Amino acid sequence: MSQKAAAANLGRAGYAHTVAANGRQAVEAGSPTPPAVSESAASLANAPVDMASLLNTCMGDLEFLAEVTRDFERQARVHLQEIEQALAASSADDVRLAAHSIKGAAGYLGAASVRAVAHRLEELARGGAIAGAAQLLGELRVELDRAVGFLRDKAAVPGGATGDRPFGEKRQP
Amino acid sequence: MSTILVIDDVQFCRDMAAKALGRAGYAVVAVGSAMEGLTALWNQRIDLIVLDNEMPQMPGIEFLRQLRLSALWKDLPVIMLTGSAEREKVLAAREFGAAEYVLKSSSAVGTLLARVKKRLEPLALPAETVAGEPESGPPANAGQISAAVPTAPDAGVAPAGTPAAAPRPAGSEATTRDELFKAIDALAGKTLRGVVTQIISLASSPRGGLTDLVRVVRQDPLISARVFQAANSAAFVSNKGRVASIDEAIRNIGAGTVRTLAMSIGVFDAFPAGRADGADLLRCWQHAIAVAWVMDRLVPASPTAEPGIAYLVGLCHDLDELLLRQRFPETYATAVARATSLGISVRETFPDLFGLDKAGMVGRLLSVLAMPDAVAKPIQAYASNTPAACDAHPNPLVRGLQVANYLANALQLTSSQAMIAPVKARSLHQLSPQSLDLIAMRGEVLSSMTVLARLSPSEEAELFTPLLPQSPTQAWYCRQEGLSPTDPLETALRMLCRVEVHDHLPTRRGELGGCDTLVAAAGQSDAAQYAPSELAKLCRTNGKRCILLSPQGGAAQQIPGEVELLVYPCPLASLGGALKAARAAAA
Repeated sequence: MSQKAAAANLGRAGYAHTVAANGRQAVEAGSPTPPAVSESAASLANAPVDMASLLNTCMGDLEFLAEVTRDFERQARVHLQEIEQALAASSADDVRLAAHSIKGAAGYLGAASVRAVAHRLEELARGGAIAGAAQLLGELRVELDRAVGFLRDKAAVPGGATGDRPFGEKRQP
Repeated sequence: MSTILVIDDVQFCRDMAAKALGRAGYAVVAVGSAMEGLTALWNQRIDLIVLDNEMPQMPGIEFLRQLRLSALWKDLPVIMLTGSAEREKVLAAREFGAAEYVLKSSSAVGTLLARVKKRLEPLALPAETVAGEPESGPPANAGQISAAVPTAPDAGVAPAGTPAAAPRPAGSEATTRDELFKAIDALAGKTLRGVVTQIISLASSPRGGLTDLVRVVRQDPLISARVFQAANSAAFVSNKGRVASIDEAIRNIGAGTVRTLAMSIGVFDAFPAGRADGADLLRCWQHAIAVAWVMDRLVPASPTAEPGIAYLVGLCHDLDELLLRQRFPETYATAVARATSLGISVRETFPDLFGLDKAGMVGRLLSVLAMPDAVAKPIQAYASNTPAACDAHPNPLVRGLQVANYLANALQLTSSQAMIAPVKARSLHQLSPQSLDLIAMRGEVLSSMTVLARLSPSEEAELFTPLLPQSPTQAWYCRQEGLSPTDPLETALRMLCRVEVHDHLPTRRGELGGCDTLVAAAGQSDAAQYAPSELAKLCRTNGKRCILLSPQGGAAQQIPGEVELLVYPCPLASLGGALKAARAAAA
């Protein structure tokens, strides 16, 4: 669903709402003309994490940002492992739950591409199919690496919460 | 400090919201499922809920719907914080009174903080200051455009069950019949929840398997949480150890307890005893639960009284008084004062003060609440008959109600002005008094109240304190033949003093011995055995005073100075006063 459609639903139900694109613009539901996307916003759209909003979320507190980064990384590793185990056990439902968790966390951080891949994986597993799941898992690792690398850089977090191992690297048995 | 409950199954999201709210100065309780959320609600005061929707066992919207069914939480502010703004979910959230709907995005936490701040003051301020704070303050984060003024759930359409009539100002004495009807009819729709009805029938059916019961209990988060809580309460833990699942909990406490719990929750939710209503209303509930408990054990199951019906009859028999106390406290206070000064029961003042008698009130109330006839009929019969007629009523539920009322009053679970009387052995025909363990019951009723009304330690202490203190008076209690050993009068005496029970009057000089007084209960008003003049003679011989309890309707007799006559049913406080006077005279 588009942001505008979501905003329209909220507006119809009588809620105050905000639609933010990369944390820069806010538009009212049902606004006849979509806001012009500025150049800087467009370039920021390539970043794996919506940094401006995230800093707003962290109330400008870099220490909090570092804490959030470490939490995200730690949780993401747990959920990736859950997906691996669920795939090994052919449990589509467990794949769905773990993908849902990553999706939720990524949504919070404004990590749009991580969220998108996790969402696809969740929907795939919801249908009970796990045939294409391994490939999506691979994509998810790549996007997580990008997002966490970016976050560590911005938050000046020296290493991963569980060592400097990238997400693409499989855990040794 | 305001406490916020965060419910989200995704740990990262939960932690992030909790940390941000914590940093903003709120106390936060964060849990991962709707069930844990309910347990948290029962266990502490929560001022606002931040709720995710997509959760595996129970979606947030369903949790919200269930929450609004409970009078305790129907107005609690809830902010939805979810990943989806699908039209039907947003509309459902609106319908169930979610105050705000925030989409999970990178700006969500900032938005959430602003919306929370509009409703709750993070610093410790008196509640009045928070409530009076205007809601129109600018949002904390810049760049936000509010498209519509958010509507708090309590500012919308009045929720079902909002009483139509406001309490009358002090000084006005009578309440009109119309006002009363309005208050009763406003309860329409507060029928027992479907789940409660299902539990009653499943737990009562000899074929109802435990698996079915588990399935139904699981549908209702409120009842599940309470079953869980009951199974892990001190009483059950000491026998069986702590339990971790609903199946185990139900197996431990038994289908019967699940049934009574579900019924208490169902009825209590329709008439909650709020903190503002004070101890009187809590005592009224305590009385209802005590009577229900006695009924459950006293009235054996039969084709006319399926299991569970007796409990429900007990629980609902005084709903009219609960309504009057809540909606018309001034008139009700007048009724109590009048009853006390005239030595009559409170219900006898109703026609004069409310324009309707107890039977009329309770009849209308039970039909508005859609109670089945099996429950409504015995209550109406009890309400419209005199105590003597109830004693002799053919329906065991009516006779049981009479006995259960006296027993609950005698155990000081009602008020000091509540009526007590001994009961005739034949009133207990078809009933099973041998299964009553009154002391255990008193404890169970009190702990039920603590959980149902979520009492604070000070409220609990107030409720647990007996209404009348026990004195060291030693009484020789003589019960005339024909009166039952399941005796509310004996129970009342045991709560008030030390008692020796006999089936005869003292015959030898000095037989009264160390007793301070003689208490004689006559089964019939014309009993020659307890002639006041004979009792007076006995008192003079032993140098003691005597209390004679005699039923209503006896011929007027000359009462000598040594004898105090109490005509039963009589208020508990009168018995307490007579015992005190007797001890003073003996000393």
